[in-house]
Amino acid sequence: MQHLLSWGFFRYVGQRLIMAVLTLWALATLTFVFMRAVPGDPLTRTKEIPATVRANLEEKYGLNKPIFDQYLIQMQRMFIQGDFGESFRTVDRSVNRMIAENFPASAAIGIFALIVGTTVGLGLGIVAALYRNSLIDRIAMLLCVIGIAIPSALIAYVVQYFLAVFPLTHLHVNPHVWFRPVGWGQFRDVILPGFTLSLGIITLMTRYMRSQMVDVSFAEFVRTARAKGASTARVVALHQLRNAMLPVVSLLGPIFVGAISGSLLIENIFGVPGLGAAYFNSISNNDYNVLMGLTVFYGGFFIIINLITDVLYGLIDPRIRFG
Amino acid sequence: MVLKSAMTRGAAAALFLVAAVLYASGVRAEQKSQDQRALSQEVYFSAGDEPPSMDPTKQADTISSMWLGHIFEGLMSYDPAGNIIPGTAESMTSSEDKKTWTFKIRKSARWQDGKPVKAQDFLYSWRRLVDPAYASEYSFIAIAAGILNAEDIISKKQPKENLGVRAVDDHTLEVQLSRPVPFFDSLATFQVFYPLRRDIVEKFGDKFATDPASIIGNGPFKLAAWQKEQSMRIERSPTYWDADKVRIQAIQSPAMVKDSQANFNNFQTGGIDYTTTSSPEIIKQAQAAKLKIQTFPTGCTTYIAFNVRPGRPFANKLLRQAVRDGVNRSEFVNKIIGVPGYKPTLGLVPDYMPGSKKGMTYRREAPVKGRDADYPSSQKHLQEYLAVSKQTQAPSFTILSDDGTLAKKFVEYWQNSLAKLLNTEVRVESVPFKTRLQKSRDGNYDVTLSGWCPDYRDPMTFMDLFTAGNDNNMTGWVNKTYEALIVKAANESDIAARIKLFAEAEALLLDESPMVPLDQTGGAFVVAPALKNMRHNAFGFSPDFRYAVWDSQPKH
Repeated sequence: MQHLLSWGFFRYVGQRLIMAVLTLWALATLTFVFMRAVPGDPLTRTKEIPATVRANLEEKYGLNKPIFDQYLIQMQRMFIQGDFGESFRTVDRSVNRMIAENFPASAAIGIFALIVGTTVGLGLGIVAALYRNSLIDRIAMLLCVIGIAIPSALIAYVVQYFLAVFPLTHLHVNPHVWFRPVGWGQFRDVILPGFTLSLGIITLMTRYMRSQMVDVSFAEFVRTARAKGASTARVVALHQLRNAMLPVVSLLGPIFVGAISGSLLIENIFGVPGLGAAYFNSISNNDYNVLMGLTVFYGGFFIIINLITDVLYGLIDPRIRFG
Repeated sequence: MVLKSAMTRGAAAALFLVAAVLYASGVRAEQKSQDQRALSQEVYFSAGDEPPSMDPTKQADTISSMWLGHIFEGLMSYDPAGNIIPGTAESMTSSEDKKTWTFKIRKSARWQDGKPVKAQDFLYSWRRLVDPAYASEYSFIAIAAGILNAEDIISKKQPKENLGVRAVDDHTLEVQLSRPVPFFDSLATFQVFYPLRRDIVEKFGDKFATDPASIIGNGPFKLAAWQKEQSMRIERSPTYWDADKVRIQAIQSPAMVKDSQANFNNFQTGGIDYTTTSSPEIIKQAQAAKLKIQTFPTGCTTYIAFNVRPGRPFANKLLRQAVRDGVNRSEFVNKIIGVPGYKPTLGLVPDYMPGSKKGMTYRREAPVKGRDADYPSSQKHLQEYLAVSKQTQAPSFTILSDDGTLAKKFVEYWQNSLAKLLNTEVRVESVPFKTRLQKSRDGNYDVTLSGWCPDYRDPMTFMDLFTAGNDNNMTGWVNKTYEALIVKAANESDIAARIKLFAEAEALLLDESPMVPLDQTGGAFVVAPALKNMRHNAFGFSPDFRYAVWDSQPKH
């Protein structure tokens, strides 16, 4: 732990935080450019809004200002006041409130998926590697291929039907304790969408962990440990696993952000009140503030998680020094 | 061992985190089973999405309208058969020229906090609608309604106090129109004309209508709970003047799910009592489960829109007529759309538009000549076209379409069938939805599939679409006779004469064929058999549970 509290460590974190702000600003600027390059604006409707009415709306939202002014206003509001502005679609709702109210639901299924996905994925990967080319290994790899090949919407429907609709309508299980096909507010409601979301993580983790374990098993320190007469369990747990885990840890950050950033399909199918729908709608409605706000929010999240991952890396791997 | 205990601790902490996050994320309310709901007269359904706004003046999308239609009530309302009846007003009188309308507001009308509904509440709400500073997207309805000075106020030429509306006393509202608007009674049912309480709006400011505390309506239900993107619940209001007739005690959307398959699954397991089944796949499942599928019109007309500007393939009327007569609307509706509730149409104005006499529809008074899939007539026009233009083949052309799943399916059908019909090459340009809108507005296309949904209950909402000044007329079609007929109809106060003018204009439009009507849109739904009297309106809001009732226990 000594090296963590060193001057070098603080300087390292400080530098990373400054970089984080710059990265976020660049992200926001690029988002602004792309957002405005897309045809239409937040007031584009299938039925055109009459010109006089449109003029009033543009004035109200500041859309009639020169585009550079709009950029400055948005950046200033976001980075200085910490206010993402209001949605053009769900009028009267600020993006900050949207995040506060709906991010927890996305995060709940995301964290659940991460726990299940990592545990099962790592376990499956280890077993597959230890019993390489056995039946278990083949089955695990087959499941991975299926997991990659089938679109997540289809998996969600299959999960919803076979784990909720079928048991309720045909097996007459007690609806008060069994999974609800659609619903939110109780712990049981996290399980189906969380499980669906975890399948992608399982496939990724299994394949990655398996290949890392196989690589490490040929490493010289493993051979040395074996030669010393260490038991297989000890070799696997202390030598193979620990070293194979290192690259996997670096994957956890991006996977975590991916998992909590809301899946439109899964949230929509299971009735999870997350941010997935809002994010998707913001793109199709040119809802500038929501699109910008959520992009910067997730971007910031990603940067911070990456920073934490790097620090954790140092904890697990004593070879890494900050400074 | 160290690793294992660290992992166990980590997992325990993470599970705790999930629980904490879940707790922070929303209601922990118990949900009732269908039997319990029937006993307590509650309805569960899926509203489909978060309402964009619960401020009646701000938005008029279908989801907001549905909730607001239960929470508020306009001067006029709809009865279970869809007729216009007095709502918050007990009577309505119009002057001979249909330019002055007087509404007497019920003395028994109450807001949900017990205060009486006054004429001033309507006056306040209507002035807010046209206030340019407030900038309601739907303020144009006040122009369509012909309310005196509305247009000048919206374009900042006059102050909002000059709006042609006056509270004569607490219970009398007088409306001055700039031209005869015989359908003003149907406009008076519309959500942007609901009353609003000045004290409530001003008290909450930006937070008005964002939670149950900041919404006080005058309708049969009051907002009881609203969890954003998750659930919404309204409960019967005892202060409503006609509360005795309201049997349903509460209406709840336990989840705001758009996905129709998920909603159908939820319906099948008794999680909700009603859902729409508006896709062929779900219709099949509902049929397999032996459910009764019911249909309703959703009000819009879909058509093929031509670009008639010079130099475009369909600049020539004869070629357009060949398409008009040759398309097989029934095949398109039944085989390609595949949702009961849709129906083929030869005319632009939908079948439900009222006619001049009570009980009559516009369509029965103004039938359309011609028939669907009249192949010989189509060939005759095509041959005439080839002879006149001295061509041996019809020109090739491109259909502009967006890249949505449904749009792709539809355009593929039209690509094949129009190629066969006109014996020419047909290409498809598939672009994102907004690009399609932009291109069609710029007149940068040959042919596209388009449609129109009504703003109010009068043929005019369809007919003025094809006037030169209309922003939504993308075809480039301009016809002096047509313009004159529409202007004449707009100033005609005699209803029968008006219908005649519309019939004449529509016949001219269909003869010229800048567009070819295909179908009238519809929807299908399934509902728990014991839940009776729920309604769908082509106008106003849907679904309408105001008159609904559970008449017995649901059967399993």
